[in-house]
Amino acid sequence: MTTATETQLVLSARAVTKRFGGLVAVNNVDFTVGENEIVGLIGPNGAGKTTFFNCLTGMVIPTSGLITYRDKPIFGGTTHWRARLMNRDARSLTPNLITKVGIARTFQNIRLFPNMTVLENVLVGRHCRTREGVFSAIGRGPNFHRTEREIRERARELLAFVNLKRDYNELARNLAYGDQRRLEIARALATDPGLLLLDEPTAGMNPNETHATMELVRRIRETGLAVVVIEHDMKFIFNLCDRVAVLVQGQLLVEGTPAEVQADPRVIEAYLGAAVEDGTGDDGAGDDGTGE
Amino acid sequence: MTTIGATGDIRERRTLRSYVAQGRAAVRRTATPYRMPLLAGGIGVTVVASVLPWAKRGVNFTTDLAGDLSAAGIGGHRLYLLILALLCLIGFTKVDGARRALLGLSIGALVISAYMFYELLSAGGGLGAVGVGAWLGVVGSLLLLVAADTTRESPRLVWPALPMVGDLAVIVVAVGGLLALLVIGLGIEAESQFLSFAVAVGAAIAAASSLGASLALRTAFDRYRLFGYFICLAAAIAFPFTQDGDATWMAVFARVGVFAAAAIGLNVVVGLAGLLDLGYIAFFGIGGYVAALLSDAIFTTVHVHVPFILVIPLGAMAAGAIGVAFGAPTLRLRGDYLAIVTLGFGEIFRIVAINYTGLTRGPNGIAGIPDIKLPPWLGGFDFGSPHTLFGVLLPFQSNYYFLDIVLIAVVMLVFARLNDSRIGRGWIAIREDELAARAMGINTVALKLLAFGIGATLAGGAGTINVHIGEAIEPNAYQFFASALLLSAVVLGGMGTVTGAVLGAALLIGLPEKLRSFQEWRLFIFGLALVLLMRFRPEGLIASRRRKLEFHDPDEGAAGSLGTGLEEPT
Repeated sequence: MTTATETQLVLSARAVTKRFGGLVAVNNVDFTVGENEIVGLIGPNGAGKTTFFNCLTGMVIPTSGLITYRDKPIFGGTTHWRARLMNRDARSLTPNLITKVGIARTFQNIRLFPNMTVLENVLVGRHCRTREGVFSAIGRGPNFHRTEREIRERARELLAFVNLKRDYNELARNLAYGDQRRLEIARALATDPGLLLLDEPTAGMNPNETHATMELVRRIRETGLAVVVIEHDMKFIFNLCDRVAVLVQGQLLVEGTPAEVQADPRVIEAYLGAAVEDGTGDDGAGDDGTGE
Repeated sequence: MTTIGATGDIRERRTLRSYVAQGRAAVRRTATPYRMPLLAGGIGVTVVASVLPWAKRGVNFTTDLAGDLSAAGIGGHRLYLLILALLCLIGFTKVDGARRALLGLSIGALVISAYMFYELLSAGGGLGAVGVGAWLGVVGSLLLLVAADTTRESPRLVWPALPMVGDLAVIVVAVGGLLALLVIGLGIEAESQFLSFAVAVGAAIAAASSLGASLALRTAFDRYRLFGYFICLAAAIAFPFTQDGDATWMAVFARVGVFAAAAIGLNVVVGLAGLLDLGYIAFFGIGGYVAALLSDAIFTTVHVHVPFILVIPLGAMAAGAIGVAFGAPTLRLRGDYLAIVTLGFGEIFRIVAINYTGLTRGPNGIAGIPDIKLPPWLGGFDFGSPHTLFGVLLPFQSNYYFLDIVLIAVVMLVFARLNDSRIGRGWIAIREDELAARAMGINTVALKLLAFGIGATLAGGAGTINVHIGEAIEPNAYQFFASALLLSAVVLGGMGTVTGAVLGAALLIGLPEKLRSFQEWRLFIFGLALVLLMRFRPEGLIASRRRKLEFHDPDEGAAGSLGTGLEEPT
C-alpha cells in the first residue's frame, strides 16, 4: 500500500540524475515523500544515497531531473537571477534557500559547530526564520529583544524535545556522540522544516540509543513533519518506516512497504546474498561489509 | 564505515593532552625536601644582590643604565628585582597556583638579571666590569627558578565570590593600577631600565593571573560591565592629564588609538567571520586618501574642503563600498585562496596609489593636511591647538587622542553588539563549518560580504583620522607589513575580543617607540613573541571565552562553560 500518491506530496523528485564525469552516482531516480510520512532510503555503500540527499538539499547540483517541495521547484524549474549572478546553476536553489523553503538535514559525519555552545548551535538554526539585521543588532530596539527571547525559548523547547539534558552552555564538541546526533537533529528542527532528511542518524549508537532515536523520529512525525532516513540498521528501518526505497548503484531498485522490500529477491541479491530476515537484529550494518 | 570527522579528531587530541598533563602532574606531586631551602636561599641571594653594587668601581654606567651601578643601593632594575624577589615569598604559603606564580616571578627575575649582566659585559668591556651584585642576581634568580619547578602542581587559584563592593574594587584597582604602571613606565627615560620594568610588570601580572586575579577581574567585569567600561573610559581620559603637557606620548597614543580601532574592525573579519584578510590596510588607506583629498591640504590635487564631521562617514563608506565590491566576487573562495586574493588586493591598492599620480601625487603623497576644525555650530573646536583643562596643558595631540576614544567606543559597541546577535552567531557558524552553516539556512556569501564590508567601513573611518594625525599620506605607509602588523595585533591581543585588539595595537605600535635602540631587532622580537604566544597561549593575551574553551581542556580549570564564565560542574 503506497500512500504517497493519495495524499499531497511533500517532496517529489522526478528522474534525478547526477553524473560526476563518467560516474553516474544517481541515475534517473524517482522519489516521493507524502505528507507526514517516514521514508527509509537504504542501499549498499556507494549506492548514491548521500549524493541523492545532497541533490535534494542543493549541496550538489543534479545533472538533470526535477525536484519540487510542496510544488515549489527546488531544482529544474527556477531561473533565479541571483543564482545566475553567483555563477551557480540557475536551475537550482542554493542550499540556504532550500532550507528556508522547508527541507532540513543532518549529516552522516556529524557537522555541528564544535566551538559554539549547545544552545548557540540551535539558535543558528533559527537564523533563516528571523530577520534581525545589522542595524537592529546595533540599535537593540524592542524588536531585537523580543526576537532574541523568542528564539531562545524555541531553542530550549527543541533541546527538551530531543531529550538533551545537558548544560546548554557547554561547547558542542564536548558532548557525547549520541548527544551530538540529537543536537544535530534539534538544530535541523530549529529551521522549522516540513521535511527532515536524516543521514544515518544511528551510526555509532548502541541499541538503547538507537531505540531512543527511533522514538524521537516517531515523535518528530507526530509534530506534522515528513522524514526521510538513510540508515544501514535494517531493524531500525523496517520498524520505523512507512515506506522503504532501495538504491543500488545509483538506481532505484525497489520501493514499497517494509514487508515488500524485505521479501524482494532483488534486494537480497543487491546485498550479495546476505539474507534479510524478519525481525532478527543481527542483519544490520554487517551486510554492507559483505556487500563490497 | 562511519567517518568520525573533525569533532572526533579534536576529542582524540584532547584526551592525549590530558594524559600527558596528568602524568606530569603526578611527577610534581612528589614532595621535594630541598624546596624550602632552595626558595629561602633564592629569595635571600636575590634580595642581597639587589642592594649590592652591580658594576666594579670606576666603571661608569650612570647615563645609560640609570643610577650609579658601582655603588650599593636600591634603584632602577635593582628595585624591580627586589620587588620580584619579595613577591616570591608567596611560595612559602600553600596557596593554589603558587607554582605558576613562582615560575612567572623567577623567570622575570632571571631575565632582568641576565639582561643586566649582558649589558654590563658589553658596555663595560668584559667580565672585569661585572660586580658582585650581578653574579648574585643571576645565581639568586636561578635558585628561584629551581625552587619554582619543585613546587607542587596546583590549579589556578579561584577566589571566593566577592560582594559587590569587592567586585567594584577589583575593577578600580586593576584598571587604576595598570594606568599607574603605564604612566610610571613611560616616565622611565633609560631604555634598559624600561625594559627591566616591562619584564617585571609582565612577570607580576603573570603571577597575579595564576593567583586568580585575572579570573576575579573577568568575573567582576562580567557582573558590572557598565561600571567596568566606565572605569576604563575614565582611565583612558585621565591618561593625557598625567603627561604634564608632554606631547611625545600623546602623539604615539593618538596613533595607537586609530590602529586599535582598525584592529577591532579587522577582528570582525578575522576573529568573528574567520576570513583571513591580508590586505586589510588598503581599506585604512582608502579612508585616508578620501580624508586627505577632501581636506584641502597644501599639496592636494582636489581643492575642496569638506567638514571633517562629513569626511569620517564618507571615508568609511568609500572603504566599505570598495570592500563590498571587492568581496562580492572573491568571498566565494575559502581559506588560503581568500588570503592570497586579499594580499593581492592590498598590493593593488598601493600600486594604484603610487601610479595614479593625477589624484594621489604618487609616491610623493599628499602632505600638509590641515588639522581638523569642527564647524562653528559644533563649537568651532580646533584640533590643532593645545588646550588647558583643569589647569593641565594638553598638547594638541591629545585632541586626536580623545577623538580616538570616541571612535574606539563606537567601534567597540558595534563589535560587541554584532557579536552577540543573530549576525554574530551566523559569522561564528561560518567560521566553524561553512557547509553546515549553509545547510542551516545561512546565506553564507551575504554574511561574509557583510563582515568584509563592516570591517572595511570601520578601517576607513579610522583611516580618515589617521591622516590628520600624521598630516600627510603616502602609499608606502600602506604596505603588506602594515596589514601583517594589524593582524599580529589582533592575534597577539586575542581574536574575538575588543580589549585584546586594543592591547595588541598598543603593544605593537606603542612599545617600539619606547625601545628605539632595538629598532633593527623589532621584527625579530615580534616574530619570537608570536611564536612563543602560539605555543603557550594560542588564544591571545586577552582571550575571548570561546577561544579559551577552544584551546584548553575544560578540566584544566581556567574557565568553565561559556554562559557563566565560571566553573560550574554539570
